[in-house]
Amino acid sequence: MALFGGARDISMFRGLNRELMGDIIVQECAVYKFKLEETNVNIYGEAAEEKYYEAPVLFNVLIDRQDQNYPDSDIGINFEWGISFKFLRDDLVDAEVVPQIGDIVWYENGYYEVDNIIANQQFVGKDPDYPNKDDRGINPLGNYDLQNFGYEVSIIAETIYVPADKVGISQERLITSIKDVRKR
Amino acid sequence: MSERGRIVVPKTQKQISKGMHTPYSKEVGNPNNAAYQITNRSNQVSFKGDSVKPFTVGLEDIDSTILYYFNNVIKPSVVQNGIRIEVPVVYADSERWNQIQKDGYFRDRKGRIMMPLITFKRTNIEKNRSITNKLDANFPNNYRIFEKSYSPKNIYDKFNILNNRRPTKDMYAVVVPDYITLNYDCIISTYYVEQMNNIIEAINYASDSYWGNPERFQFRARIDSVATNVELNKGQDRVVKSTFSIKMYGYIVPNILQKDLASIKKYHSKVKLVFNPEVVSDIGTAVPTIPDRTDIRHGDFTEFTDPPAPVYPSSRINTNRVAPTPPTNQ
Repeated sequence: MALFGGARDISMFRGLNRELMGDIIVQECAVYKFKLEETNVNIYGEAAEEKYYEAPVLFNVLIDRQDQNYPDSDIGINFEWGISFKFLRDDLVDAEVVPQIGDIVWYENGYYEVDNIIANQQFVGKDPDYPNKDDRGINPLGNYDLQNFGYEVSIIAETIYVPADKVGISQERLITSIKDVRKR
Repeated sequence: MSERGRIVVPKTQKQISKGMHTPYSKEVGNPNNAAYQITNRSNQVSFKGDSVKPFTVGLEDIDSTILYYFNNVIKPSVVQNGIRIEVPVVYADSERWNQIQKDGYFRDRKGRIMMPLITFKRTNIEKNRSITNKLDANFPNNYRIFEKSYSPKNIYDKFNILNNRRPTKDMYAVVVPDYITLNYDCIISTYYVEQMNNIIEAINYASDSYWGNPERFQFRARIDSVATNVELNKGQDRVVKSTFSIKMYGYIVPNILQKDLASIKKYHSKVKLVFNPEVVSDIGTAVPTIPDRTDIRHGDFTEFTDPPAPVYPSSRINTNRVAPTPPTNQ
């Protein structure tokens, strides 16, 4: 039986984290999950015509912003911005949202595509989902209640900036031709 | 006097040049002045209500032939842990969300790709100029013509056949396609060389044949060489990889505005009305033929017999059942 990382410890950490993120720091972002059944792809694995998303879910997060970058690419001066969104895993569980690669995060009227997920922050180094019991429910080393110890604290989504018209959530490209600009 | 005050507009170089041309055909006119093709309203036939769509073949059609042939004809498979597994074939580098979430059936719970897997992607398109071409994209000159068998204006009708009537036919003109050679890079990834051997054998057998859905488009595919490599890097899993290129001989007829505006897409055959005059030397000897019937009999009807025609008919079709007797010279 483990000594630390039990339910009381976890509850205290959960309360502290929620108070910090929800009442003191208060940084927010929304997560858009794809509707996989409704979003059709062509043979290239692209949903070029229409993308469908579940309704966005707003979370309190910790945000780690990199510096904006304007690289000189083959097609001209471009824009890049990488942001890491650190979610409290318990919030995600309550909202039944599993951030995955490719999901869209909305933050300050910009859209960010998740290109890396880090779920590696475990309190006392244990994940209660893996109590290592056999078919009879017995842990051979005698640790019979490992499912009550340990805590997956956070999920970190590393994202890259994507233009809003590619995401297709908001109407970003209001003018479709240079001729429209000249008429004005 | 009326031209007084008129501003002189000098001719452009193009106008001067055209003025020096002497057209070979008076009907067609100056071949360099192609504007006559635009204004020919007879070529602007609508597809409204037509069951035939304008013919197009695109790059996606050619790409999909590879996917079809792998999945439905070659059907590569390997035996892994005692189970025969179909090898998934995917287009490389699809969207992130699609790779991980929608197309993730060949990944394990953590997202790692499970072998075997075949990926392919188009890398190059080369124009094949050794075959015919349309000559000019502005005003295509070479077409392929397809005839529609029957249409509302050309209904199958025995009356028409009996009377040698041929109603106008619908013809569809398709611009001679752009012949291209496409190159695809393919990667086969497996855990074991033995699995790789089976896949390569299957793919090599399918080389030099026509790939694609027989009910849609088929294109000839060539695979010249397959390179096999076993990657055993420190800190990484052992992977057996084979790379090969598919050379596909295809053609495209794009669905674009320029083609729609400048090319002929549909036209009707010309209607020809033929009158066959019947001449007699003496009008007094001509007996008017009044057939005693109210409808036209045809087929295997045997009860009705027309009276023999007193006048030997001309070259028009004979609807009489009894062969007419030619007039005898008395």
